[in-house]
Amino acid sequence: MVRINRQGKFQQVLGLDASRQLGLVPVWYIELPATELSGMLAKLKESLPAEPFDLAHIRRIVKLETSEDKGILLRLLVCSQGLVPESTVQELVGSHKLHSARVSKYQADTKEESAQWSQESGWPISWRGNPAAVLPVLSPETQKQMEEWVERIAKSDRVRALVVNPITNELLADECEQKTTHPLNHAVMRAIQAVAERERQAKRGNPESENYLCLDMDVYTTDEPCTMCSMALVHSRIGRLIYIRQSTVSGAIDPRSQLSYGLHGRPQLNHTFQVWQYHLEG
Amino acid sequence: MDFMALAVEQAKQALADNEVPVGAVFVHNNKVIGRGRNDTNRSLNGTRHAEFMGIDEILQSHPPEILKETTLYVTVEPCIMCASALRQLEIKVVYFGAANDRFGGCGSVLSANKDPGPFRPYPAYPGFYREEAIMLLRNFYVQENPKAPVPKVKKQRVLKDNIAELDYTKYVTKDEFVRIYGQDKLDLFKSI
Ligand SMILES: [Zn+2]
Ligand SMILES: [Zn+2]
Repeated sequence: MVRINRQGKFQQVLGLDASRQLGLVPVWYIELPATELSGMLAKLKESLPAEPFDLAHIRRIVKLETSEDKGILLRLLVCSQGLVPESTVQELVGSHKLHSARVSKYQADTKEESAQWSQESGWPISWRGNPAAVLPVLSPETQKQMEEWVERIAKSDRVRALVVNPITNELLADECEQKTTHPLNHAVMRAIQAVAERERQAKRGNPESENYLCLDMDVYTTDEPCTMCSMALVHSRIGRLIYIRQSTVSGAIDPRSQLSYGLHGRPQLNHTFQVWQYHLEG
Repeated sequence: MDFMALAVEQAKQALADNEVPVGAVFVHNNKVIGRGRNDTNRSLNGTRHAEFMGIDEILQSHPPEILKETTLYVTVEPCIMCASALRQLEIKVVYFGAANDRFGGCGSVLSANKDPGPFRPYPAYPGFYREEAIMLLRNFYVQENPKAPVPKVKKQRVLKDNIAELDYTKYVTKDEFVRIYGQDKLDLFKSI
């Protein structure tokens, strides 16, 4: 399902999964009586490392049947296969037999898709809505404010980046690339550095100052950022990126750029942000 | 792999400074030309990773071209940002300890070191001083990170000393594996 979100001169750059299909992750599960559940859960939590995939959308426990002699029987998802060696998993679950199943890698966009993927994978997804699937809207005021910042850099003959606080509309950094002195001094890296420098100074004056990296800030750039800069924006936890030109060869945001990394929209990377491309010609 | 021991020393210093314990050493003609350790908490800059600290040291006294003949030893797989930075500098080869399941750019999440794209690709070999690297990270993560925005409720975290096997197939080809680790270790080269 391909979606398009155009708001005035801004078009949202969606992530890789805007047209994703059902993906499957192999997992281990066991069947056990409900009475043993809490003990087993505590044991697993204690012993297993974190999952490499975000499986929060998967139902961990599935009720199987209730019989008079055995009581309630449950199916419990233990972990993804490959997280730890099979022998370790077997050791953890003791005498229970390990079964193999596959679960959906992604949260679905809609209730219908959720039901469909649950059926196709053979393991239920728990559907509590998916806020990420609701396309964001830019109010006319927000668009006007964003356009003013875009116009500030639109005529720059060098790659340039701004960091702006979208709540106060305050400019926090305005930097151009300086690759002659240091090949990694791209505009985005320098802008992040400038915000950090500013915050270190603020802390000197007021140790209570508590800004965290570039959390929720807007970043404006002339060009779609490269892999290094895009990941730097993930590490810096920005809220929104707005750029003018797509970088078809080195860009790491737009899934249609050659690398097709879509780094702004990979939940596995702990942080995602919104991206808009500005179309000068409306 | 004595250079990796130096990288581990850098990581230990990072841990002592309350930084995520990752350390890096850059070696040119058998000589250390740059060192780095994670510095994100002190600098308030989420991009000050060990690799960048080392590169900055090198560029103070060398032209960028020296990186083309330089080997990096780093305790944890370079993240996607660093993997791309190293490729833009055309680093010769990277040896690392632990995989970086969350952000790794040399095979774990992406292969920014060798995916088709601009700049010369480079090989990145995992598994050197891996246990030391992992135990340092676990030491760090049993402490809370008070700077994270919405602190998640963490239950009493205990150091887990069982270490899962490394899936070498994510990082190297079979030929590379034999060349770097030896034919006798081939039973380790399997998809997990
Ligand atoms: Zn860049
Ligand atoms: Zn890094």
